[in-house]
Amino acid sequence: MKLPHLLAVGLAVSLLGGCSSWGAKPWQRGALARPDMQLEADPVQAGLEDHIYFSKEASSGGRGFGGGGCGCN
Amino acid sequence: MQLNDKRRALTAATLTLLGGAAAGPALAEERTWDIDTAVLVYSESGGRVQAVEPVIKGTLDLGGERFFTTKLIVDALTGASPNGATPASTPQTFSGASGGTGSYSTPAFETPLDDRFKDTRVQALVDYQFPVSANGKLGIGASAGKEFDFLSAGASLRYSHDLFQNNTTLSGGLNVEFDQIDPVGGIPIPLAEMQAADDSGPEDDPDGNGRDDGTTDSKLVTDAVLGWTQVLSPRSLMQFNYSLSLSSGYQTDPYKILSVVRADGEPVSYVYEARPDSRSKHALFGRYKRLVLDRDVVDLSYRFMTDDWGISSHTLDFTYRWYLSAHHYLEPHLRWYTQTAADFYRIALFDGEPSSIEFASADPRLGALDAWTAGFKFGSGQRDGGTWSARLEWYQQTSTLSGVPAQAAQGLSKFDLQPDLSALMLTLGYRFKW
Repeated sequence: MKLPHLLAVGLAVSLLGGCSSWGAKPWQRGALARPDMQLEADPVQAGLEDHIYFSKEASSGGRGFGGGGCGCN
Repeated sequence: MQLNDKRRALTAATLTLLGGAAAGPALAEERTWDIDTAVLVYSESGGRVQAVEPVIKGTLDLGGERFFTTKLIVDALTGASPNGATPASTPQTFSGASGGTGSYSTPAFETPLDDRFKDTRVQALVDYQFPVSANGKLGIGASAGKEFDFLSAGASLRYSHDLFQNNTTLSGGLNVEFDQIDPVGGIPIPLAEMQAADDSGPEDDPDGNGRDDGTTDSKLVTDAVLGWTQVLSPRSLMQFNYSLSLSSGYQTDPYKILSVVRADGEPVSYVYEARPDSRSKHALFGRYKRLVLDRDVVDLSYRFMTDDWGISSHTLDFTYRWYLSAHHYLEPHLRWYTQTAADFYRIALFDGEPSSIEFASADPRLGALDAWTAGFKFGSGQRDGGTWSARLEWYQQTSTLSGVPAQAAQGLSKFDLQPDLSALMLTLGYRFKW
């Protein structure tokens, strides 16, 4: 196996290994369970925000599905 | 009491709709809706767009990690929007979308605004999420939207899978949306001259106003998202998303025009804009969220987007939820955005140019621009479980001049070609159980 391949495999293994060693044990999840620690703590507000920026700028999407559902003329 | 009866009836109806026959009336009575409501008031300075957008979203916990969600959005817009034409040294008159009847005028040296802009949009969504294995969840959804000249219908499917004791979540989603547009006066002929209606036109445009009378068009938008969420520690997590959006069909704004100018920068005519009929957008999104001081929450995100129209953008977003007491918080918010212009973005066209090009648009949203949002939110949680919030924000958009025809650059330099846009946004929110 060539060196770049070895490096790629090494990186993938260490990333996956990282996934299993990062994180919180089930009894350490108090903070993560808080409503304000959810990825989208206020989804309705996020939806309104996406709609404004979709109407005023040329970008959309990223945090979820893109804008749309409007003509936004 | 009457309210409770209605709630039971609605809950039972929802369960029936979802085929939840096993959940009989006795069970249904225990279910509660999580109701999330908000209203956005959006106001641009200088008499431009004003909008009021109320939203109501209800989520019903059906037990066993099954959730039914429904959302209704109403969006009422009024005010003026730039029509794409450049200012001129003399007053300008535009014939308007509905032929000779809808004309409007712009004073000398001012940015032409179409002030007949008025619309109400209604959009409804339903969604059902349920587990398909010990670690896998599936979500299916449908949406429909209606404006006076626009109709959309969409469907979505998403799957998420938890790994490593729920510390890692991988997800994938697909959303397909079909939009139909039925513009006033018909679909404009690309780069055709906008004229007052008379009887001089060709067969497909008998009134000669540059629109293909009575026609409609459509587009299909397919969005795919791949996501990775990782818990980093008991106090922090991060999220990465890659999203692809493919759009094919009619993407032109049927009400936007461009000025055709002479070397002195004065208009000789106006033509309807024309955009390519396909667009591919790629976006990378990253977010970091952390609990600090065992009390406050920091949320930092970044998005890079690029598309095949030549637009690329960067967005940075930061909020800090600062708890003033156990139930009250103040949340400052800062957002910075920058984008490059679309390849076919033109502030105006030079005389004779429309016959030699395929695409052109003077829509300020497709030009190079920077934008800042700054504001704060104040929120409170009540003893009865309801929470409310109020957010006030200021949005400022500054354009960078681009797409100026070289032959008319000198002549156009006497005008303010891309005035800044500023807006105030107030969002009030209230969440409760029902």
